[in-house]
Amino acid sequence: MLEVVIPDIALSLALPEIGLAILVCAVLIIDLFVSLENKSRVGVVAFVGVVILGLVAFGQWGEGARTTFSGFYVVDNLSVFVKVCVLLCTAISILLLLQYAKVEKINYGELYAMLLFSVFGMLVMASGNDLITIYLGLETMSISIYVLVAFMRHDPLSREAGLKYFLMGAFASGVLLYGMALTYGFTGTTSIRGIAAAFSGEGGAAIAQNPVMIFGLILLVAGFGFKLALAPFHMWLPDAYTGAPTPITGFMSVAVKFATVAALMRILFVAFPAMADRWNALLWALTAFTLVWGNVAAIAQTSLKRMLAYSSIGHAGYVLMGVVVSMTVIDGKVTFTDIGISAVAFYLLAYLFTNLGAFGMLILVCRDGYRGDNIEDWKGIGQAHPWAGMAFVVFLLSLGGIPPTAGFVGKLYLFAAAVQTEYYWLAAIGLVMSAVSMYYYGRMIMVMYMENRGESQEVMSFSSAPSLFFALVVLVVATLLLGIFPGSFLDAAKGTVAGFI
Amino acid sequence: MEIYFFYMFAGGMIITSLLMVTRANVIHAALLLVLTFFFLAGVFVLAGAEFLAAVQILLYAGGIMVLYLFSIMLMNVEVAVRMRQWHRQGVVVFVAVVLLGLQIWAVLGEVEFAAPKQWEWSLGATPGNVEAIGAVLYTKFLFPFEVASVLLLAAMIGAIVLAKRRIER
Amino acid sequence: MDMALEVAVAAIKIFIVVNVVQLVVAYMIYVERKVIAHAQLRLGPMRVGWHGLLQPIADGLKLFLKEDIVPDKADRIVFVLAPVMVLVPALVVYAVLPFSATFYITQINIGLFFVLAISSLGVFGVVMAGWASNSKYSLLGALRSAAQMLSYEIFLGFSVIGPLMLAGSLNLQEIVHAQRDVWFVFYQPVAFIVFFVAALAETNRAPFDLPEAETELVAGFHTEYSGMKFAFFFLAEYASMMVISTIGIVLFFGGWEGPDFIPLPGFVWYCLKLGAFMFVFIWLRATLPRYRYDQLMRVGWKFMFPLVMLNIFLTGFLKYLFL
Repeated sequence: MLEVVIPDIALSLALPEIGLAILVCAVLIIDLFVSLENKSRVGVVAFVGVVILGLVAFGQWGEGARTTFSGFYVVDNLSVFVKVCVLLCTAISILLLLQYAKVEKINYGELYAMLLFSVFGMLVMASGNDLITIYLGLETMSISIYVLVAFMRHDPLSREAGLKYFLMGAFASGVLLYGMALTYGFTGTTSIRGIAAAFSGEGGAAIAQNPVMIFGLILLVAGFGFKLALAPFHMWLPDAYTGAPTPITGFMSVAVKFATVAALMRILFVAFPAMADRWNALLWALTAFTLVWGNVAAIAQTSLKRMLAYSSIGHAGYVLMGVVVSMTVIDGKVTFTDIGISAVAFYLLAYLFTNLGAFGMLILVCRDGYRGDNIEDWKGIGQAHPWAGMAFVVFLLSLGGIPPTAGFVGKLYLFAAAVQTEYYWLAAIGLVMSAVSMYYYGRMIMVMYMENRGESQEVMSFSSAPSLFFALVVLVVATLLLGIFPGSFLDAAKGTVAGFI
Repeated sequence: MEIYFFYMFAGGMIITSLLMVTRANVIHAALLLVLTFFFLAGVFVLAGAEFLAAVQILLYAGGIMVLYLFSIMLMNVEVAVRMRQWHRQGVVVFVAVVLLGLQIWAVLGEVEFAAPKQWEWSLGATPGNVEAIGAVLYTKFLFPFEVASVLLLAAMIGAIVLAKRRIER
Repeated sequence: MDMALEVAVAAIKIFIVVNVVQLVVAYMIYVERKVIAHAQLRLGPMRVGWHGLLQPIADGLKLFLKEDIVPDKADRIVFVLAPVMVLVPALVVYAVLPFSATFYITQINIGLFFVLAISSLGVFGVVMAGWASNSKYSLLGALRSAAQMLSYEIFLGFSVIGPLMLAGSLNLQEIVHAQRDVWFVFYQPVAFIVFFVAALAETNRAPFDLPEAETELVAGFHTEYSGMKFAFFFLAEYASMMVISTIGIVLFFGGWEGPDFIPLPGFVWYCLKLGAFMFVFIWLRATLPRYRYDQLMRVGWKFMFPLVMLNIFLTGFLKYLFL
């Protein structure tokens, strides 16, 4: 008989994931006993569970890096930060969903279950300390989101979005997996630390120079590029974001970025410092291209949702900019700066509130058969509904990076990091594109305040659902809070670096 | 001796997969894919991974491909076969493929492939690798294993959600 | 030199097994006709030889001499390959079956898994035949067959896990050895029932013979086949019946081992058990009406599946407690 050695497993470290898996099963089972009209109760259960799990995850903050499950799983400040933010994003998204699901008649228990499944994948990605774990987390996340995107099956746009996203996503997963396979072939391990050790060990320098290994790295980056929708891998995004149920669009634009960027940083910073010059050049180009493409293409959009989709590509560029500027060469030695990593963390946090808020405004005007998607429909809303108009302005300013909002501090911090690590060109592109983005965000504000209602314009009514109201108030307050008193949040963002590299 | 078998299986895989992607008839393509899986299983056996080989046949050839064939037959294949396909971006694709091909060729020409290296945990060394896989799957790989189970549950529920007939407007 | 000898011995064994199997299959059909006839108070074949004993030979000759028709609109290559695809997996499986302590073609570590994997391929032949015939009846038969075999293969696979956990090996000989004292059927009655039902469905036997339901689909997937190709389907069906019976015997009834107080050689025990199994197969066909399609699926997924999962769970639990 083979001797079986059972490794030490600290289950308590994985409490958020375990709790979430239990929560999903609970939601699925509760769903069976809830009548079709009361499915929102399932959502409430999911909401409460997610909030509790968020607190559990928060409790793990600041205890240093600890691995368990034979090194497949790691808890450090970065993973805790990402988990808390993803769970926060999920909680808000559920609040946004409760009303929307009723309006769009997709109020089924599986909606919340699939949402939680994708969150499970994200948490696993955040804590993945091994290519296998990261890939499995990524797949869990992606597959659930394909389903969520296509959830409005009565709507051809949603079906199309789901199919496109699914095909492109499956292809991207293949690319990513191929990159991982080549990495495994050269280093003989899938463990993040193991790969780093293989590069720094005997013959590691030769591996890092091997063209096929470089090819593998390119595939890895391209795979993540697809998932993050970096130009030129962004073509699925506008359709997928437009067709998906709006709360899901908001959710995926934020939460997916959190999880994917965390996994990308872990792979690139921890496993591939030996090839930093190569991936850095690659990401530099991707960042510049993404910034330009996302922001310029957003100008031409007449659909609000589509404009936000393109702007989300632009913001992915900013996040990636933080990843790029984290690496710098000091005395011929590759170093990762704290300021870059914390800029990424803070920018993502700011983007969470801002973008969810912007999509929340769209959800606010949704009613049966009407989605308020057309920018022209928002004419004169500023006068007609001053409070809603103000809220939207806050979100738009934050997206554009105007003080006193979260987006401003995020961009400021990001550009500071870029300048400090001497990425002047990237900072310049980022600044210019920020100005370009103000054009289309500003146009939206103009439409709302400067233009009068047209004759044939659709009459907008704003939903008064308490869940929606509560979520938007939280988002507005958080966006302003991050912009005016960013101190403690910046500290948290700086804390993510601890124990990571 | 083994090397000839390897070339037989590997060559078979290449030929059948090439044939597979060039067939216009979907059923033929699916059947050729089954053959490809068979050759792949053969390669697994040569690598000393007989468990993987059996799983390959049982799940991919015996399970998934039957499902493929099943769903293809439910569709109207005749129409799909006769339907004209066109690629409007043929030129772009051609240029891109040629460039990529040159690139890969240049890269591969530069590489010296090292002799295969024996990694530390060779499964073939143990008396039967079913037992070894079981032992390693439930201890070392416990976490990925459990995550995979959640992944499959998510995929299953997702597929049912999308395929269920009842959701109505 | 050793290797050549090994290959030669293996070749001889394979030759013996394949031919014996074919002969047995021919006589299985005879037995089936006789048993069913007597169940229905008829006599069955009586003309050729004593009590019709030579009937299978005559049938075989007839099939050889029949015209071999390929329908005009059929997909010729697939049509011709289909019977082969049905027969080959059914025969390949015999490579690992233990007929007695010493007589078997080969022993591999993943024996049982190999059997499951290869026998799951039989459905391809059926599906190919149904599709290539370009006939509505055939296609319907093939679709039914694909759905049925996919569903029941899952229960079949799960039902063998219980005995496997008790035996601790996938090697068929070792599973037999593990039952020297007590047959697993006494430990695993639920698994055996599920296994047997799944086996009936896997081999397309009554009451699960929907793919070839003659009252609705003429002859199902092999409607358009004639001559030797038709004979291949029959050969394959009975060959896989014997395979599945052998697996049942090995997993639940102690394989070729019998009680010590009756000193019979292992092979005889095996043949007796096999005969009993085959008789039950025929008996069921003579007795039970055919299931309806939706009933078949419902029984499988809503009853068998939870049952067999429960069985695996309980087996693990009890094994942990008592063994």
